[in-house]
Parts: sequence; structure tokens; C-alpha cells
Amino acid sequence: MSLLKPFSKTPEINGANILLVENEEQFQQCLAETIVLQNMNVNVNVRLARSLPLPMENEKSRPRIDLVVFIINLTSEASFKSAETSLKYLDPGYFLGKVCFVVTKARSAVPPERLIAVRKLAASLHCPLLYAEDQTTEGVTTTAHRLLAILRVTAGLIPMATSLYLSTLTCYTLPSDTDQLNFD
Amino acid sequence: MAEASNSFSSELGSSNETDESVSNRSSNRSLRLAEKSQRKSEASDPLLLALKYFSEVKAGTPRIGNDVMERNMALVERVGLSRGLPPEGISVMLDYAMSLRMGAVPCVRVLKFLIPATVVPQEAIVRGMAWLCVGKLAVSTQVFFLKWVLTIFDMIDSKEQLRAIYGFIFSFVTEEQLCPFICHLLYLLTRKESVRPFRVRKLLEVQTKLGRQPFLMHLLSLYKVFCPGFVAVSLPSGIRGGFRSHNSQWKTVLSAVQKKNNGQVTSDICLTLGAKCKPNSRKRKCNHLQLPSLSSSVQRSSSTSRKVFPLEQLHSFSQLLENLHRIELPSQMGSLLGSSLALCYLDYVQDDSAFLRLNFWLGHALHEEFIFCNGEEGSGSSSESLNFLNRLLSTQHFLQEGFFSTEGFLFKFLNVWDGAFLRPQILGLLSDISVVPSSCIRQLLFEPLMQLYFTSTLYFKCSVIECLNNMLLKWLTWHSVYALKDGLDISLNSHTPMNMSLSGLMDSIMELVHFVGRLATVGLQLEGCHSLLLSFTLDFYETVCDMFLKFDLPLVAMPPLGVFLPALFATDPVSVDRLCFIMYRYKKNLMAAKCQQQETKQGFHISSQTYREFNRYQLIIVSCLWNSKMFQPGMAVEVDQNILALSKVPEPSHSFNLIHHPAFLGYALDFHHKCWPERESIDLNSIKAGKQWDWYLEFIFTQGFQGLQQFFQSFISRHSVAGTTAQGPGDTQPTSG
Amino acid sequence: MNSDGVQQDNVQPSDTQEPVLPSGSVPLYIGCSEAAQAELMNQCEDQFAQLELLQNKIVLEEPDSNENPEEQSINRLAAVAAELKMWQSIQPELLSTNSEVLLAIGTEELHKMNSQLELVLSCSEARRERLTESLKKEQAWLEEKKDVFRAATEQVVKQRLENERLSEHGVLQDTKKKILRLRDYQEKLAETLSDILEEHFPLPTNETNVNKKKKNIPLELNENLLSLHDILELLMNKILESPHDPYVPVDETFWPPYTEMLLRYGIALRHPEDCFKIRLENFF
Repeated sequence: MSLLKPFSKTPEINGANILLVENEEQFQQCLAETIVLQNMNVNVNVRLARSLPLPMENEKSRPRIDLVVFIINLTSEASFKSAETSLKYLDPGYFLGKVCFVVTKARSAVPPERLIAVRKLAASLHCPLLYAEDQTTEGVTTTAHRLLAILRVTAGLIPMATSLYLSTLTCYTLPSDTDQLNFD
Repeated sequence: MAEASNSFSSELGSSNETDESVSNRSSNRSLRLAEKSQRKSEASDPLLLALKYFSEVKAGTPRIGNDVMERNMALVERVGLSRGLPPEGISVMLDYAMSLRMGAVPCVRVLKFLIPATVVPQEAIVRGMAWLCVGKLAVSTQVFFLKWVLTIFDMIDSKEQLRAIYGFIFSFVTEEQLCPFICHLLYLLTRKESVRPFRVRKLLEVQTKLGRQPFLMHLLSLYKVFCPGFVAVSLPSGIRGGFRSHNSQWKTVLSAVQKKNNGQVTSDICLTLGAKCKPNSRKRKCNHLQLPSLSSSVQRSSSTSRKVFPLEQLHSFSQLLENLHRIELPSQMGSLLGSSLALCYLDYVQDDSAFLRLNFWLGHALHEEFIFCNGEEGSGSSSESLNFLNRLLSTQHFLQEGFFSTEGFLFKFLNVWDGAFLRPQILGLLSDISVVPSSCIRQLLFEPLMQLYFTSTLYFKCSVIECLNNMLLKWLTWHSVYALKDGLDISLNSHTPMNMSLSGLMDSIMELVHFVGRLATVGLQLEGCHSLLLSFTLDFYETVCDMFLKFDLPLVAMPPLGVFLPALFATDPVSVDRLCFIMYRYKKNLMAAKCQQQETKQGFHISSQTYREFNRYQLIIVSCLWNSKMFQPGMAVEVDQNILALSKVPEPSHSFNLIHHPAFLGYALDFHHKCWPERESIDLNSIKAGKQWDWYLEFIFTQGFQGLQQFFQSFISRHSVAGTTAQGPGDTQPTSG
Repeated sequence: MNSDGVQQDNVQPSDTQEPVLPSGSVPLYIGCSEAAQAELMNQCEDQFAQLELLQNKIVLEEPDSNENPEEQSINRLAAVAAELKMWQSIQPELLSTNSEVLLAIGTEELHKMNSQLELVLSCSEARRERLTESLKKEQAWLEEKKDVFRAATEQVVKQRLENERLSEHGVLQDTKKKILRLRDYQEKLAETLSDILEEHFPLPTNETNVNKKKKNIPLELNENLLSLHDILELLMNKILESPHDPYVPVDETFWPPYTEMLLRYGIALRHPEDCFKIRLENFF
């Protein structure tokens, strides 16, 4: 089993690498294009994958991945399951702030249990959970900006801030039972 | 007494009218209309022919193998699903279906395509209810019919006759499967007159059988609002679940049809309406998010006898003033949002039931549209949402109060928000929420906001801080208003902060202030102390520092070091100036609090921690800007002397005084140039000597830095500052190291 | 093990090169002398060498991963504690002492500050506009409220005057008229009710029973059966005459189906203890 490790490669100068994992490959491509279009002071390299583990043959050429993003479409059970299995192929070091989840279609008629399951997953791994409006350009741009904001920290581009530090600020506490009642 | 008999006699008037129409008017009228328009169009409209078929077809006509019926049915179905059916079409088809003239199979099919193009005549619904009473329909079909009625409820042209058969509708609450829908329908129809002890008894009886179901609680709470004496049981103050939504079946088609019809108001559908097409029914686009148009539950004819003034006839503010005492609220509370006059009225009457109904309508609409939306998210619908939320915002501003259904919606929505969708509106609504108890503020508000804040751009961070500042301002304003009223509760919907004890309010405010302190500290760090974020943060603390003097809240909370230091060492003079102003206000507040404490002996207690923090900050500012004792031992900010030596900065302790501080260096150079235009080499230290210092201060203060001026005038009070009176240089001059 | 996903992944390393710096800002080191640039380069190389050193250490020391979530939590805690310790012990680092470099940094700082302040300015202007707007609106509202208050006060005064003017006689006349109207209304209701009852609720006869072919049951209809109309009248009178005891005994003159119907639709109620007594529901 080949684990993806956060510190196995030297970082690039003025560079940051983000890996987008999405089983359905719907949102991935357009998000990737939007991300590289944003004006950053560094080279942002976006890599795409359907699931983990990543193939061995690319191992050499693959740069150090600073942020792994799992995109989950809430309307599909498979999307969630795939992300869940992929998580096993990440080195635990990644969970110190270098993983985040992006959820799409949360504002629709989806079973509430699935939303809760995703929130529980993110909370138990101490990862931020972002909701994305994938149908509008504005929504995609927003998601790109937010991912870049996280990437900037995880790639070490912000002085005095580390990914672990950021993750202590952004992780959910486990949703409690009262949360299921939704209102006070 | 007089009032009671008044309302009774009026009911008399209206039911007289009801009497005739329920019995025979409806089908006749619609047929007459159909005939009339048929003659007009010279029997050419196939839809009318088809409708004629269904209105005349005899009971027991075979269904299977009946091609004529099938053809006509397909035609009406097509029209219904594409353009919607005209009012008489609805009447005819509903009657045909509910009478089961051709059995139960066509019934469900007809209900499925019964999409109104404009309005639904109330007679049709009354007849439908009558068929329900016959009891031949299968339970599932009965439920289906009720769902349909609930979906098109806003489009029923008048509800008076439906209210007349309130008792008949009510009798269905005992049917377990129908109960949720019946309760919902009753909720929409209930008026004060409808609330009777025997109905309350019945509902309670049903409740013991079915348990405390939300639909029963809703109806009971409405009854309780109307007649508190009748409903003795205690109900939770906010049952926020709402009635389950069950209209998705028709919703999409309905909104599509309505959108289409909007474009072509003068289409043939409208023409067949003939005389019945009132001008206001044309405006009735009634998309799910469009506000229902104003239509009072009283019909015009009866309104004269009743001496009430329907809101829909109100056209000017002066009319409102004249008729203030006899205005009838509309049957659809959502329509209130659409009319500023109606809102004025709502604001004055402070009618609990009106607020309850409005809240219910609103909660339902918000949930449907923004959390449970089905698929397509076109640009059209999002501009609709935009308008809707803007309208809601301005309504809340006008009423100076948030609706509790908005709050419920927001707390839910924050959990699935991307931080950009309708941002100004969402944050605007969020800043209107009433005080959240400190026990749940973290979970409801802080957690979702934290996730969004720390993963978003600078601009979002700024708008969150701004939003929380506005929220704090609202809470404080409420407090100061209600504190003045001395506990007198003039609240409209009993969700105002004064339901909270003072200590509860202070806890919540303290939580909020600390939360913003954390957001600002880390935000400034992540964004490299961006001036914009700093500016919004200082806005917030301008509110916080004056909580006691401006809002009468006995609370003083200092900013954290993570906000204080970036502001003090900012490269722009405005931030430094504003920080000084804030410190000056803190001092005023603390002194006033101390005074009160000594005078009344029962003033609030400020912790010594707060005083310590304040003194420390004061010391830092004075030693850094004024005394040039920065970095010296015991002077608050300490840095290893070796490092200072390595930096090779001459006289590091001077480097942040009013002359050398990066924010003021430019002014110092300017001043130097004006004082000694002939000098070639610049020696800034010469500003510190003698009169020059006074002049320099005056120079700086005249640049608009009022905060600095107030700060130094109040803190270094023994000396005159800025040369108001010329004293010996030894006095005014700062002690230079 | 290898699934479709594996081939799929990483196919598009879309490394679009970004300009290293945003257009418009000049890199720090341009404009410095060669000596200054060399000094900066040296610093960078030192840093990078140190980074590589650390990197090698990490690779060598990277422990076996463990899946145990509890241990992961403990590891996380340890990592946070280590980071905290690091931040607490960290010393500020100094900038270069080279005046050229310092000048360049200062210039850049000022440029940055300038653009930030422009943002602040435009934000402040926008806010001022918003505040002016809302001030105007609130003033208008205040005026309106004053008007309403005035109108309401006038209304109250007018009402009071009117009340004083009303004579007792007038009130009496009014009430009489109302009573008359009510009586009319009641009569009409009663008529309608009896019409309906007559039409839809006839007394059962032997024929109806025969029609329904309930032949096996030897139904002997009581000759004295009450009509629904009579039953209702009985119930109504009873409740009005003796509200303390509104119950009416059910005897053989009550046709059971009618009694059942009244009970089922909540028009009548059974006595809680005596099932042979019913009363009218309290409708008022």
C-alpha cells in the first residue's frame, strides 16, 4: 500500500501544489481551471485524481502535495463512499491540517443523514468542511479562493502560520445530538 | 359588549351570502362563463369543448375504451401542464374528479395536472370539500386533494366561503392520516371567531391520541394567540419546525407555468376569464418566492356593512391614518411584506397573531427556497431570491426587529453556506438576529462562522467583522431601549432580548466580544495585518469601548493584545489615531463606572483584570509614543537587548515615539522642513526640544488626529498639551531618554 | 487493487505557470546593487540548505503510520503542544542591515500600505453613503410614526366625545334593532335546518329496510321513533333549560344510526359514566 506522505519531498521555491480528488469528475475540472486562473504570487500546480492511492509510475514526477481536497457530491452515496476509502491512502501526517473536504449540492433535497455523516467524518479527522455552489461561476470562484486561502497556509506561504494552527481553528466539533434538532 | 355583537352581526351578513353560493352558484356560474366565452370564440376552442364534455358527462360512463374521454382528458392535461387551467376549468375538472363520476382512476390523474393559470375560484374548493365529506374517496386520494389545496392556497381568490365551512373542515382532524394536512389548512384559515372551546378540547383529545405532533402544536399555538383563555396547556414558545412541506409535487410545474404566463398577460387564458378577471388577479404571479398580493379575507361587498377597511384598498399614508382603527389584515400574511403601508400598520397594531402567521409563512418560504431547493439554480431564480431577501431585510429594518423564523433559517443555512451566495443579504439578516443565549451561541453561530471566516478571503473576513459589529450594536440598542422601559415588555413576538435576564444578556455579549477578539487576532495575523481588516476591527472596538456610557450596559471588555499591538504599530496614522481614541473612551467609561460604583455602592463590579489590562495598554501607548521608553525594562514591551543591538538601530527606544513612529515619520519630516527650511541635514531630535515639541503636537493634532489629541489631553493631564498655555519646556516636554 | 481511478488519476498535471509576481510590483531585489543582491542570494541559499537538512531528517525519521484513531489524536495533541512550545520560544528575526535592502523593503511596504489605504477609503465612503441613506429612511419613519401617533390620539378623543354624546335611548334603540336582526337570523337558520333534516334525514320506514334486503334481521321498527329533527330539538332544549344537567336519556325512540351519527361527528357526546345518556356538544 503506497501512502501519500506530506513531507517526503522537498518543497518547491515559490510553489504550491493542490490535489483534487473527486470520484465523479464533475466539479474537479472546472474548479482546477478556476484555481490556476487566480492571480497568486506563487506557482500553483493543480493535480487531479478520481481516488487514492495514486499510481506508482507518477511517484517520481509528482511534487510534494501541500493540500489534498476531497470533493463530495451530497446527492450521491458513491461519492461519499469513495472519499471514505481514499482517505486510507493518506499518511496520518496529512491530517495535521493538510486535508479538506468540499461538499456540493448541500442545499437540496438530500437525506439529512448523509450531511451529518460527512460532517462527522470531517470532524473526526479535524478537517475543514467547505460547502460549494458548483452551479454558478461565482460559486466556483469562491470555492477556488477559499481553497487557495487554505493552500497558502499549508504550503507555508504565510509567515507565522502553519497548517496545524489553521486546522485547530477550522475544525468542527463533533455534531452533537441536539444538532439534529437543528434549532435551539 | 358592543364589539362582540358587532362581529356577530357581521358574520350574519357574510354567511347570508355564503348560503346561496355554496349551494348552487359555483358550477352554474362557471358553466355560464364557459358558455359565454364559448359563444365568443365561436366554438373553436378545443379546451372549452373538452371542459364542456367533463362538465356534462354522466356518472357511470365507462372509462375503459372511452376514446372521447381519453382525447379530452389528454387535451386538458396538456393545457394544464403547459399553460395552466383557467378558473372555470379548475372548477369543472375538480368537480369531475372528486365526484368519481368515472371512478377513482381519473381522479388522481386530474389532480396531478390541476395547475391554475391565474386563480382558483373558492367555490371549487368548497365543492371539493363537500365531496370529501361524502366519504367515497380513498384516504390516499383525500390526502392528495388536501396537498393540492395547500399548494394552491395562495391562489384561491377569496377565502370567505372556506372560512364559513371551517367546522366541516375541522371535523376531519380526527382522521389520523388527514390530520397533518387538515391542521395546516385550518392554520391558514383560522380567525379569532374560529377559536372555540370545543375545538380546543377536540385538538387536545387528538393530541393525547397522536402525541405532541408539531402540526397540532402549531394550530394550538395559533389558537392560544387568538384566545389565550381557551388554551390552558403550555406550549413551547417557538415550535420552529413548521408544517412539513408537501407541495413539491406541483411546485415546479406551477412556477414554470406562472413564469410563462407572466410574459403574456393578455393571452387567451386571461381573455376567457371575462368579467371575472380583476385587475389584481392579473398581478398574481405568485411564484413560490413572490409575495402573494394583498387580498383581504373580507370581500368588498360585505366590507361596507362590516365597517372594516381591507388593507388592499389602502393607497396612501393619509388613508392609513384615517382608517387606523378599522383595518382588516389580509388573509395571506406573506403579502404584508410587499406593502410598506401594510407594514406600517403591522408595526402599530403589534398583533401577536399577525406576527405568528407572518413568521410561519416566512419560515416556510425561506426553508423551501434556500435549504430544500430542488435542483435548478438559474440566474432568474437567484435574482428572485435576491429581491426577496432584500425585501425581508428592509422589512426587518423597518420593524427594527428580526423575525424568529429568519433566525431559525439562518442558523440552519450557515451550516451549508459557501460564504458568497447572497452574502450581503445573509450577513445583513444575520446582524439582525436577537440575542442568542450564551449556552448555544457557540454551536449556532460561532462554529459555522469560524469555518467560513478562516477559510475565506480578506473581504469576507471584513464583512463578518462588520456583521458582528452591527449585531452587537443591535443587541446594545435593544438593551438600552428596554432598560429605559424598566423591564416593561412591549415586545411584539416575545423573542426580544428582554426575555433574558441582564446577566444572560451580558454573558452573550461577552461571548460575542471575545469571539470577535479571537477572529480579529488570528485574521490580522493571517492577512499580514491588512489595514482594511484592521479598520473593521477598530470599528468593532469603537462600539465595545462605549458600552457603558452609550448603551448603559455595565460591562467593559478590553481588546486582546493581538488587536492592540497591530493597531499601535500600524504604518498608517489613522489606525494609531483610532486606537488612541478607543483608549480614551475606555478611560471615560471606566471612570464613569467607578464613579457609579462609589456613589451607589451597588454599581457593577469591574474585575481588577480589566483595570490591569487597561493600565498596561495605557502604559504601552504612553511609553511608546510619548516618553520614548519603548523596549526598556519594565515598560510593557520587552525585547532582548542583544537583538536590538544587532539590529544596529540607533536609540531603539525612540523608534516609536510620535516623531519616529513609522506612521508619523512623514509628518515629522514635513514639520522639520517647515521649521527649518534652510537646514540641510535633518535632525529630527531637534523637534523634541522646547517649544518645537508643542508646535509639533499642535501640527499633528490639526491634521485631524482627534483621537491622539483627546488621548494625550486626558492622559497627560497635569501638563498642558499642544501649547494651550505655554509652560516651561521642562513640563510639556516628554522625558527623553 | 488497481481500479479505473488509478489510471485516471494525475493525468492532467495542469501546471499552468503563473507569473512569479503580480504585474505592477517590481521585485525587491531589482534596483539594489550587485553586492546587495549577492548578500540576499547568500541568505536564501543558507536558508535552503538548512531546509534540505531538515527535510532529510524528516524522511529518515518518519515513523510507521498507525491507523489507530486514538493514537492519531494523541499524535495530534503532541504536535500541537510542540508547535506551541516553538512559538513560545521563538525569537524575532532581524532584517538585513544592508541599507539598500532596507530601503527596498520600506518602499515596498509603503506601496502596499498605499493600496490598502485606498481600499479603506473606498470602503469608508461606501459606508458613509449607506449611513446617510439609512439616516434619511429612519427620519422619514420617525415622521410617519409621529403622524400615526397624532392620528391615533385624535381618534381616541373623537371616540370619547362620541361616547359622551350618545344618549341612553339611542343605545337602547340600537340594541333592540340588533336583537330583532338576530331573531330573524335565528329563525331563518332554524327553518333551513329543518328543511335540510326533512329532506336528507327521513324517518326510517319498513320499506327502506326491505329495500336494503336486511331480511334476516327481524327488525321491528318502533312506531314512536323520533325524527332527527326532534332529537336535535330535545338536545338543544335540554342544554338551554338545564345547563347543569344537559344529558338526555337514550331510549328506544332514538333510532340507533342517528344517535351514532351525532356521536361520530361530534355533535353529541355520551355521558362519561352512563352510556345511555347523551348531550349536545358545547358549541358556544
